[in-house]
Amino acid sequence: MTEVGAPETDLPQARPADAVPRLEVRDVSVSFTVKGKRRTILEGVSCEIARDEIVGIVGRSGTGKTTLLNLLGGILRPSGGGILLDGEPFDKPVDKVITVFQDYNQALLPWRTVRRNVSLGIERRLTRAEVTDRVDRALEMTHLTDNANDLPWQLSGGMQQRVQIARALVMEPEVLLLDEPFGALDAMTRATLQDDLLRLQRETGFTVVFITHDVDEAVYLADRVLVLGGSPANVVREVVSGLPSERDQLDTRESPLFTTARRTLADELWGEGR
Amino acid sequence: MNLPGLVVPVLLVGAWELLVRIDVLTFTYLPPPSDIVAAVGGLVTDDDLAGRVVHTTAIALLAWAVALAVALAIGTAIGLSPKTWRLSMASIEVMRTLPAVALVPVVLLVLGPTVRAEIVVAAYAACWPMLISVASGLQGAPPRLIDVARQMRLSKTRVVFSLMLPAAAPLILSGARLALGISLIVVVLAEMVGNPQGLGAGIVEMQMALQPESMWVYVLCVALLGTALNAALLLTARLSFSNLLVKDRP
Repeated sequence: MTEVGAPETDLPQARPADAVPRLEVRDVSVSFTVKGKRRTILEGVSCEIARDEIVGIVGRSGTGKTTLLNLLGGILRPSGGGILLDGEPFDKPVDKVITVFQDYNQALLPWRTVRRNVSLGIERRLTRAEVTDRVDRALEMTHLTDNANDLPWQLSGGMQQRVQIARALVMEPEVLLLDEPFGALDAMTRATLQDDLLRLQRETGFTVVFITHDVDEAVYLADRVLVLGGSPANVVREVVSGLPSERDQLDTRESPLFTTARRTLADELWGEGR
Repeated sequence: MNLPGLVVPVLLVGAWELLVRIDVLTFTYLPPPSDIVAAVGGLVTDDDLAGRVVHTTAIALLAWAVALAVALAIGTAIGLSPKTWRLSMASIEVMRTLPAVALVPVVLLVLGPTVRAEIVVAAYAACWPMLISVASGLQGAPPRLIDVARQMRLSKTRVVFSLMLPAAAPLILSGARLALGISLIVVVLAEMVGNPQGLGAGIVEMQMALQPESMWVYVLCVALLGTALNAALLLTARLSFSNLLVKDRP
């Protein structure tokens, strides 16, 4: 098992955790049996994620980032250990924790309009008026009001991803999990969506956990970045940038706090291994 | 309308007319197209051509509907459960390769020369392509949709009816088109060898009566009926489920 790396002394420390963290991963292991061979993806992973925190997860491909996110979303059950949401253990999907997938073209229903895609999770549970109301709000928050009656394929990639985010928002989640949410988008769209996400987080106060393969994105969005590594994987490093919560695509990216955190992460990911 | 597409058939019919008229094609029972067209009027008044068309159309559609219902039910069961798939696919492959045409005399013997026999044998034949497209359409549903469904805690029924079946719609439609074509073929055949009604019976009766023009009229009626039914199905599908059949979708 890999030791959890001690935080760098020249980097700001994580603020003290809340009494009860929003999410707690307690000594979690995941193994699969593939063709008779037992393969352990994660072993002894423990971490805590506070309320209104934005946490990024980075790591080389195949380390088990998505596995960890699926655990947090209740989509996957751990082979050992447990996940706690607000102190309560859970091992199946709950409305409070919603995942946004990278492949929006697979995750959206191509035959449903934007409005009907967004209402998918609540349409049978709430009254019609409540559904309309919540969907309207989610569309407004994601700037999709004018596209409510379009079909997903009529929209750009960035807009389709916003539809998926709106579909998560109508569930009124406490935790939003995003699996490489902007990985398939161009740089401009990506920057816009990053700022949209930060704005939404400030407006609604949900916890965000996201996976990215982009070190810059990790530092820009996150309060804290977890580096996943090793095989079986564990959290090998935690980087806290200490950036103020108000961020700007140009100024933030040039600030010393940003470049230091970015360098630390890059060293951890590629530097020493080469 | 694909007007340039009409050039080839028009040329072929023209060539046929010409070759018969100038005695290049000299078969006793090969009439020129113009004689075939001339025979239509007589059949409408004396042989109830319209009634025959209605009979064959109705039986073909009925058998098709039965096939769709059965195939949707069984195909869904097979497509949703890998266990059922493994258990049944080998048998299905064997049963569907057995030509339904060979079963026509068998079914007619068991059920007698009845409308019921026509429906049973046509529905049986039409069932397979539909069944396989439903089953494989459901099996091939994007796994991501299932993740989304689990995340939203949708009920099993909703996953099937709101996500998986709609996702399989283009495949199911092509299965339904194949089924409609097969249903018509088998109904006509059953009418030729068994139940003496409809267009199939008309073809055989006119053959026996040595009236090739009338025989050709019925043959062409079957061809036109097949085209019309297919076009009607496509049009209905496009009008009712346009969103499900979007071509540009990834």
